[in-house]
Amino acid sequence: MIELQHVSKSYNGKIQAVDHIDLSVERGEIFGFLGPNGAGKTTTIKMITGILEPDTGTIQVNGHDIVQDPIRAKRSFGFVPDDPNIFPRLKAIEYLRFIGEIYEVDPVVRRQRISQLAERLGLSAALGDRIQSFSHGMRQKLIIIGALLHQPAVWILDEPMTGLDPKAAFELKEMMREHVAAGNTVFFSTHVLDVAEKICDRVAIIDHGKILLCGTLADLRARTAEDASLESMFLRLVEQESEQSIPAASEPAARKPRFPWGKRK
Amino acid sequence: MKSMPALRRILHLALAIFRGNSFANFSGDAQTKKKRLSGLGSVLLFIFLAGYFAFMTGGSALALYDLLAPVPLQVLLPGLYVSSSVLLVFVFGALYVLSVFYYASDVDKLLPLPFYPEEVIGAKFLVVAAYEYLFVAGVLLPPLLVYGVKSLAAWPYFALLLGVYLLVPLIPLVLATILTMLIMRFTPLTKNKDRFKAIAGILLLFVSIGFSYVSSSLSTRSGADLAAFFSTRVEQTARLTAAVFPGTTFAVGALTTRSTPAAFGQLALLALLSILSLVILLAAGRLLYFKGVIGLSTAASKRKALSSDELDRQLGVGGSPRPIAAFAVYMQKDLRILVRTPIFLMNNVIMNFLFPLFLAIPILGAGTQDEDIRQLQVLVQGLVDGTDPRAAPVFLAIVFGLVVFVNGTNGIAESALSREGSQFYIMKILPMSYSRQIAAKLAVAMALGLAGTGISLVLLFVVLRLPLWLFALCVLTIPGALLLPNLSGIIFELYWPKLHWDNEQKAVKQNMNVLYGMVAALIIAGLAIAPVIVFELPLPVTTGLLTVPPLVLAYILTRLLKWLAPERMRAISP
Repeated sequence: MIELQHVSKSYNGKIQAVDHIDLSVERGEIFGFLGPNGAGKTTTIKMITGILEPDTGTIQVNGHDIVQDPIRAKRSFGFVPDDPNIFPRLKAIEYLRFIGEIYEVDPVVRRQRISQLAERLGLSAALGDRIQSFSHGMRQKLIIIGALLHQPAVWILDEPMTGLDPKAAFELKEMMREHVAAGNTVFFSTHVLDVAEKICDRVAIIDHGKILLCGTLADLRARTAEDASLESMFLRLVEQESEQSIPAASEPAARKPRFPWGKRK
Repeated sequence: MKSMPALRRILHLALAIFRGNSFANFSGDAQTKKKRLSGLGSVLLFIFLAGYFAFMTGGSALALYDLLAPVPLQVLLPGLYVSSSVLLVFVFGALYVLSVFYYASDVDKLLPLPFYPEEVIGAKFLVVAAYEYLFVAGVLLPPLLVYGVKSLAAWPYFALLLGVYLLVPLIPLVLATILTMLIMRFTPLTKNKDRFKAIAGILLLFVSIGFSYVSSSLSTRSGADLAAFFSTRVEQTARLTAAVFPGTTFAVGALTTRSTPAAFGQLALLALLSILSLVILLAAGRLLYFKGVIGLSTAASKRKALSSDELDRQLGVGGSPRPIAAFAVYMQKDLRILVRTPIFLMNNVIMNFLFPLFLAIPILGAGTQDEDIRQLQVLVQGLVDGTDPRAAPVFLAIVFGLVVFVNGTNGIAESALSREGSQFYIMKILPMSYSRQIAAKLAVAMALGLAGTGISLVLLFVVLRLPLWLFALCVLTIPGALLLPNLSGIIFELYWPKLHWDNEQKAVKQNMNVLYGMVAALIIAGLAIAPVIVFELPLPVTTGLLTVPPLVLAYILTRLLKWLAPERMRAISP
């Protein structure tokens, strides 16, 4: 469903944000993409969704190359960005109509799905209001509805749990499970390792633009030779990677967030 | 609070706020070196515009002085310019205060910081005052310098003028600030930022139109007329401003009193009153400001569920998904954002409709004494009678030039991508080709441009009762006149979009593409009009010249855009 081969991306030819990564996400799985701040998660997601073009390598979404066949590739995914500030001057219903028309969703189907999803996420009463009056969480919910409107084969989410209330977060996890149960794929980045541990079929850990590990939790435990939580494995891997990638004392102190969730106990 | 550290904190805070709105942000999203060059260009442009403005106001004072000196009423000039400055500071000050005190995106960030309320109010007042000093430097200083030189004033006059310049904006600005704070604190109207911004902006536009009308009718009065006008209206206005803004009398007195010690005495009184007004401002600000600014929302919300019928209607149930619907809904989205965002509404949409009115004001305001206007009236008469064969080609060329100019200056195409700002990435993830998205944006600019110029043109033909065949010829030339400026505007945007902004104002007001669009429009209009007038081309040739070459050029630009849009869109990194 998502296939990345030898994908690299640098900014201004200097900062190597993504460094020759290969990744394959299959149909029917929830895939978690983990890494500390600045590891290359968002850059990778931007390349998968066509926001950025890779310097090298190819990316296929649902069998369509995002660079060579962008329209078909874009039709096959729904995207929830990390920043939910979209078209604040539109009303929520106008935004959803816009998305429905652009993705050519049948009006009757669109009507049913919007009612159903808005009800489920507690947004029904706000559909007639302008998006600028929405809280962060409400905007996030609206984008989730928009992303699922055309029932995409691939659902891509960048830090989707940020700003969601517990009920909405629970609903979102349920919706991810339902989405893959219907034969689709979910690919999401997160900082919340508990969520990844609970719902992901497979995860990949990225740091310094490289995939450090990719597999099921059982695979990871086997490869790190420890029976620990995902959080422990993650922190150990990232720490090792940081030590290896900081060769000399003269290296500028650019990579501060080694433990993005606070100090390790 | 009154200690030096507090003053330093106020200055630092004011500088931080000011930098957020300064010329450093004028450039597009280029590399740093390019950015610096562009910033330098902006400063040079500002100096040029300020110089031009000073030349205009100084020139008007020179003309008025020469008209009034024989009467002799030239001694009224300081009163006229001080009163006008005070009024303008009050009107524009209220809008600056709204923008800096209430609608700036820094309010939420400043409130949790450990500043005393007086420090925040003082810093914001300094920022507003800095803008006002720049403005007053153009309105007050050149005319009164001219007055001083013409009346052979001694050095104390110029020292007093400097003092008046520094003190005069303070009292009207303090009054504007307190009035704005009162409105924002106690009226429910202002709880919807967008609506209030739009209303305030429209009011300002009408003030500008009124000002433009008065100044154009004033400039065409004869000497005797003007003397009569001055002896009544100007004195009345000066009395009114003196009553509303205490201190104006002292400012005028300082500049017109013959005895130097008495003049300095008047300036000292003005200084005392100004300091007192600042103390009152800080006290009032403490009571009013924070209660008014907290909870200010950008839009009102009803939180009322839509009925089943409303949902059906809003979601287009009953229709069927067609490719054309996607294009139409994309245009609709852009139009809604243009109309509902106050900054875009004022700068792009309303200006597009009002610009022809601004051009018409000098004609309506002027009498028959102005030579250009008289020529225009002869031209129109020649058209109506059919007696002057030169009238129709010149008229056609002027209409072509106006359509090009209005479309090149409304900034709709020239900010088509910049208006997306941080949401530009959405254009990249939509399953709609870049060419179609750009075409939809072009269509929006063309539709609004056509509406703005079309309405004016129809009104012109109806009011002047011009022949229908001429209207048909105008219609022939309009497609080229609409396409050329809008196509070039979109191409500028594809190369230099200004996507990184924290305030919508920067997408249109600090966007160099709008300036490039104006220059391109001037060149296109000049190239089209010049040969018609210089070579006195006959009507068939003029019609051909204004129809065929622009359409051929537009076709070439369209092909170029079709090729360029995907390339450039891919290259732009949000």
